[in-house]
This record gives sequence, C-alpha cells and structure tokens, in this order.
Amino acid sequence: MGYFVGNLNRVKKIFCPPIAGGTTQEVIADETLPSAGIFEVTDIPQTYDHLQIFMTVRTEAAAIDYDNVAVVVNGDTVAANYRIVTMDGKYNGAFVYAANNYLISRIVQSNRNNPGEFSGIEINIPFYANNYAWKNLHIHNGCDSKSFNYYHCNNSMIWKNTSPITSLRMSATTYPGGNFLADSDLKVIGVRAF
Amino acid sequence: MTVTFKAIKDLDLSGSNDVGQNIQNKYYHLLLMGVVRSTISAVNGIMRIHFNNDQTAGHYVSQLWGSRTATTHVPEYGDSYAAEIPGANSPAGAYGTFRAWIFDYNSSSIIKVAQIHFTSYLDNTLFSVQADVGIQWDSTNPITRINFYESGGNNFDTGSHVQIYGVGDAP
Repeated sequence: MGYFVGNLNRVKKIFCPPIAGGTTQEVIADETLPSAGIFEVTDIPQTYDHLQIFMTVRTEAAAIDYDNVAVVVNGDTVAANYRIVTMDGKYNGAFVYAANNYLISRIVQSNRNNPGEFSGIEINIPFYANNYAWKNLHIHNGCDSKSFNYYHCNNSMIWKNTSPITSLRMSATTYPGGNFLADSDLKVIGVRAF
Repeated sequence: MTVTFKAIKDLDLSGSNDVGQNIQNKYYHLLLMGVVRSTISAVNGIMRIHFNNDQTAGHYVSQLWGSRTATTHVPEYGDSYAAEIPGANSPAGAYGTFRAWIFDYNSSSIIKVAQIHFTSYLDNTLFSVQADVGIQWDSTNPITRINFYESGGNNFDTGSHVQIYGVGDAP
C-alpha cells in the first residue's frame, strides 16, 4: 500500500512498512518541502486507530503578522461541514474564537516574522478510521507575531462526517497560493493498539 | 533507547454508565484515547473519571474551557468532572474524543495527576467545545482502577470506548 505526500509540483511515493501484531507506532508520511508548497497526504492506511501529526511550518505570506492553516479532510472544502473552537493565548490576554462554518486552524508563522521562526504544530486525530463518529482534530500550535509577540493556540476542529479519513490537505490561507516555505516539514504517525 | 508503548485494554463503554478497568502496575505512565457519547435525552451529558473507585472526594479539577462565547477557567472540587459529551439529542455521529495522560500512576509517593484534552460537539448556540482539564487525585496510592461514568445516570452510547496504553516499563 502506498500514499503520496508533497507539494503540488512534487510528489513523493513512500511505501508503508509491513503490519505486525501488537501495539504499533509507525511513520506513515515524512516530508520536508524543498521549495514553497503545501502538504497533501492521500491513501492514508486504514489499519491504525489514531493519527498523530507533527508539522513545522512558515508560510509564504510576507505582508501579514501571522497566517492560518486550512485543513481539508477527504477533499471536503465545504466550510459548513466543519466546526472549530480556538483558545488563544498571547501577551495581552486570552480569547476564544469559534465558528460553525470554518476549516481553518488559526495562527502560524508568516514570512514577515524574524528569519528562522517556524511554528510547531501537533495534531491528534483519535479513531480516524471508524465509520460511525464525526472526526475530531485536536490541534496545538504557536508562533511569534510582530503585533502579538508569542501566540499559542489550542484548536478543536470537528469534521461533521462519519466517513473514515483517507486524505488530509494542509495549506496556508493567505496569498500567494497558500504555500508554506521551503524547509517546512510534516510527519504523520499511525498508532494502532492491537 | 526503546520505550515501551503497549495497549492494555480497549474498554467498551456502550450500554453502561459506570465502567471500570483494573490496571496492572507495569508501566510509568498511562495514555488514554477515548470516543464517547451519552444516551441522555439532552444535547449534552457529562463524563467523569475516577481513580480506585473513589467517587466521593479527593479529585480536584481545573479546566480551561472554550466554546463560542467564552474561554473560561472552571475549577471544581470534590468530584472528577472530565468533559461534556454529546447526548441523544445531538446529531447522529456527534461524539466527543479525548486524549489523557496519567503520570506516575504506579508511584506510592506521588499524588496523582492527569491531563486531558477534550473536543466535542455541543450545540448550535455554543458550536463546539474544547477543554484542557487537569485532575489531581489527592492520594499517593498507586492507581489500580480507572472508572469512566456518565454522571447523569444515563448510559454511554453505542460506539463509546476507551483505549488504555501503558508507557515505559515500571522500575
């Protein structure tokens, strides 16, 4: 079984390791962008219980203090099929953002911030392969920002669909093109209990 | 260095309102991954977690809770409020999910602490909720049992279950 991960102009094919018995954590996608692009993981194996995703990203947008990441599940770009609630912490306090029609995880590094500043993002997707529950994405990320100093977010994204997750697409939300910069990277880990 | 990471149990909660699991003292920490829904005739129910069947006192909880209207800090004492979960009046398919760490559960000298991140559909007013929950069980006794219960006396719905993992070999 294979899958594809990479930017729009570059596709890399990696084969999954054999499945053995017992509890397993396996890297099922590992990609560093050689040039500006997005991440797209397709044909996600359905043989695990949970997905754990680590991203280090900085977006191409240079005119804004921070950017956002759009997470598209199974190619579903209909905003009404998503909910999000975010708890943000920054230098002057905390606030909450919530929306019923939104597929965007908030706040990552833009290209206006200091060179070398990337955002670290952790995404957990419990029970991504079942066929009876809406899928919840637990997202934690942070960044520096010209206007807010350091910024941390806990995000909960709900995809209102019971289908197993077979693909994920992560891109920036701001011009130009929603690209992350080169050296942004993505790792997807599959966790299987038994 | 290889660290043990082993599933102990996939605990079916459906059809019950209080499900416990005995825990072996073989690991340093526990990781829980759960998916839950209540049969309560309401939009939302409440799930609580208790250690060693202590359902009366000794669990101290603090939550950072966010929904559409507010980010709030919710302290609660004496009971182990863990999360609001979708009920029977929620849309079909709405489930809460959580990841919880229970640190040094096997120690006989450390007061026990758990950290939980929870995500759930709520309703069309509050949209959805996420909560970072800290639970301190005010005991140095090793945790030998974890109980998950629906505090309204209703049952967990079909499909609700919790996977329990042990992390690291106990000394």
